[in-house]
Amino acid sequence: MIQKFSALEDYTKKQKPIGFFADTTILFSASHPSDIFNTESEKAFEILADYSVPTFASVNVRAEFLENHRRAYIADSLVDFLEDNEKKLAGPLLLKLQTHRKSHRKKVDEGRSTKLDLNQIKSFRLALSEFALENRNGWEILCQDYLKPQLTPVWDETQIEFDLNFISTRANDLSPFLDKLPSWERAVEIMGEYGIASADAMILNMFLCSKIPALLTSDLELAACAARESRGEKYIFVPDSSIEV
Amino acid sequence: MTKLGVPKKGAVARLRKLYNERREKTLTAIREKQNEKVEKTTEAPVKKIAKSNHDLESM
Repeated sequence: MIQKFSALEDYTKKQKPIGFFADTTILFSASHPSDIFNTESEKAFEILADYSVPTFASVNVRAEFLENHRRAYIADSLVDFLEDNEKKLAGPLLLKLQTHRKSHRKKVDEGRSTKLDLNQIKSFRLALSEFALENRNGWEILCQDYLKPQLTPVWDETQIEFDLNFISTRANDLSPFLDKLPSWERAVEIMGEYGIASADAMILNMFLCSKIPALLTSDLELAACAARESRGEKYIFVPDSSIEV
Repeated sequence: MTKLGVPKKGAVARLRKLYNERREKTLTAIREKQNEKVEKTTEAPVKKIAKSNHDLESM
């Protein structure tokens, strides 16, 4: 069943869960200050810290977490790149970056996600690759100088702060936190039944196969699938503002 | 069984601080590098060339 974060403390106090499973979206919300659920995720993790409740994740969460940060950092870096090189740029590339800056600032002001999609990133990569400065092209400068130093430490910092516990699924090695080994076939069925991405289906399948009774997520779509698949046996917590109109 | 880790108190606030510090450090490093390049490429002062004995004496 889907519950709001405001019910988290009461649940934790009464049920004393062995842990919470954290999906990618909630870890991203907690580690990216401009995310709309950053403050709400802070309150949730403070409750977990107060009651010393472990947080679990899977390796799929790590991969998707870094991908989300990549998409957010590229959006930020494009604005910074423009600020630093505006006088050296001209023509369609300058216009493209200026349009991006305007849209990026509007999203920040309106509290919307600033992450770029894969097609947008590809389009910027092509445009910046044609801009040369000294011995590098614009895309290389953007990645090496702006993106890499910001992206590289983000997972380690997050893992240390939340002291995350990973549920492993090595063949014939049933983790003490798993009821059964998650199968690839079931993950594909979940993808088909709900039309969700493969990474989300694998994360959800791992949670459903685990003994962890509760999930923290800021993705309502995933929350709805998890609630339906767990048939009322697990608790799915989402930020209050995600379901309040 | 090994002891399970639990989230640290103030974790999100520290992550926010780390994000801001990382961003500032990255942009400062880029801008310092750019300024160094500008200084290096600034035209060096033209050396005076002697055109007369008077110039040679004054150099």
